[in-house]
Amino acid sequence: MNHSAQTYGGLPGGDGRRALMVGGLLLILAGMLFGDVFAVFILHPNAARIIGSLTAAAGAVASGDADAAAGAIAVMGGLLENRGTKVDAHVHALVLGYLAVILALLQPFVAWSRETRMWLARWFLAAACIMPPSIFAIHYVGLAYSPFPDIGWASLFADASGLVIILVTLAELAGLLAGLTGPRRAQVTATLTLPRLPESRTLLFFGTLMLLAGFVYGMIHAGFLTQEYEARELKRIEEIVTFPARGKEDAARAALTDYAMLQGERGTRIAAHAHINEFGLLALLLAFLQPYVFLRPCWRRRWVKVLVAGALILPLAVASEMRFGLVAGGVADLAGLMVIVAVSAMLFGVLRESGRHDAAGGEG
Amino acid sequence: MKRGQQLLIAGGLALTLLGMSFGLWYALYDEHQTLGAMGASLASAMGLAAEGDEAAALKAVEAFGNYRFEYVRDVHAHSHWGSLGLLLILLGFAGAESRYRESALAALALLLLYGAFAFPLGVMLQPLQAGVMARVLSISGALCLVTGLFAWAWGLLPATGGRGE
Repeated sequence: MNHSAQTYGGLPGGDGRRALMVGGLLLILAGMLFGDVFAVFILHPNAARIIGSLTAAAGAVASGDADAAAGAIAVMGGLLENRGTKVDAHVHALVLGYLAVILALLQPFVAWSRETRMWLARWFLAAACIMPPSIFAIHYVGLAYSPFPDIGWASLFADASGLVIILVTLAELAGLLAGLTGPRRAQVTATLTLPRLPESRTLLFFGTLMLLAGFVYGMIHAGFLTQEYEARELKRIEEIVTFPARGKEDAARAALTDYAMLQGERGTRIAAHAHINEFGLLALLLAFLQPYVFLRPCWRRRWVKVLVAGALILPLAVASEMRFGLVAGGVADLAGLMVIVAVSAMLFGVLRESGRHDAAGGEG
Repeated sequence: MKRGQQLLIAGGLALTLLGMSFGLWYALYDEHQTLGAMGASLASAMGLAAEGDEAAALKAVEAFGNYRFEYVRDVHAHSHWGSLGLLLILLGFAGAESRYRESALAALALLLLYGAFAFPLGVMLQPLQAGVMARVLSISGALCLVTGLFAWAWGLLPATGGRGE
């Protein structure tokens, strides 16, 4: 039996499927690339500056300078916002990319006309391209010229694009329900099966294992560690705030060191959990994409191996960053690059499939 | 398409929408205010400690802890609803190959849907002093998710082990 893209509905242009698939992969790649650059150039220096600000605040408390203490905390707040918005931009680009590719795979079941589906895809992709850069800009734009006391223009752009994405997804859900259960269901002739390609099976197996590992890890973390971390963190902050004024500067420094270690430990554990699950999701998603990757089977298999290796190494390296420091960080960045290269190769295959479809005089 | 697949795909998309809608509401009405309050309470704690008012400084640290507790859980609910929704859709895609009968697959889909909805909801309710209710939701939700995923993987084992063509 032939398991080319045609078996799974093909990749015609003009009905939103191809645009969502290519746009989604580009969003995933942009999110990953940004995450790698962020990890190399911003994450570690920023963490050191955050602890530096807290140290300055504790020093100001020791010398009885309330204004300087509050000022140091304001600086720390800015650094935390800088880190938070970059993590958010990275995560939102990835998740929107996943959603775009999922919507592409669902298009044969959405009972709207080709034109409507293309129109929805354009709106989705336009909003998805605006949202992550807007989140990124929140730290830099701040509240400049904003009519609101708490929310700046960059946040408003991100929220508006989020609203568009919600409306488009709602329209896709309505089309899907109409296609599956409503009076238009007779129009939907596509079937949904797992591609019978070895690469798809490998990705499905690997993705499921990663998700199981990520779920169990997350459950252990949430059940046994989260509350302990939070209690320890608050205790250390109490000590950092009160010890300098009591003249216990050595104890305050020890509390600061422990607080920094705690932040690192907690951050790396959460990042490991998040990356295990992200790569599990990515592997499942790419399992269904393989029929549209128009490459020779041996090359499809090679890129799947590169992706699986990178996706295995990265969370392990992130989890061991507290023990092996920057070496583990470097390994994690290289593993991230392996995943990026593999997904880029698959995108190249999808583009080739589009060209093959058009050259063969396919619909659209 | 099997009923279990339909439930997972439509339910997953609905859950993703819930996650996005909660995220939008949260970003507009709560997030910036909570982050501002967190920063202000920590700055106030430092200022009060510098002025020698330790009792008031500790109260400000407690307020910071409460804001942080709420913030972490709200962000958790937003991100988990969104990601679990996407996961359910993908599990629905693969459901055609499952070894389970149609009724068993539909029951498994309901179990996963309950888990994916209840776990983030329980975590989100923790700061609202919902006590037992929040714990029941989050623990039962997490258990349903993990059990459901293991059962789903077991049902799919023959398909992943196939040699393909």
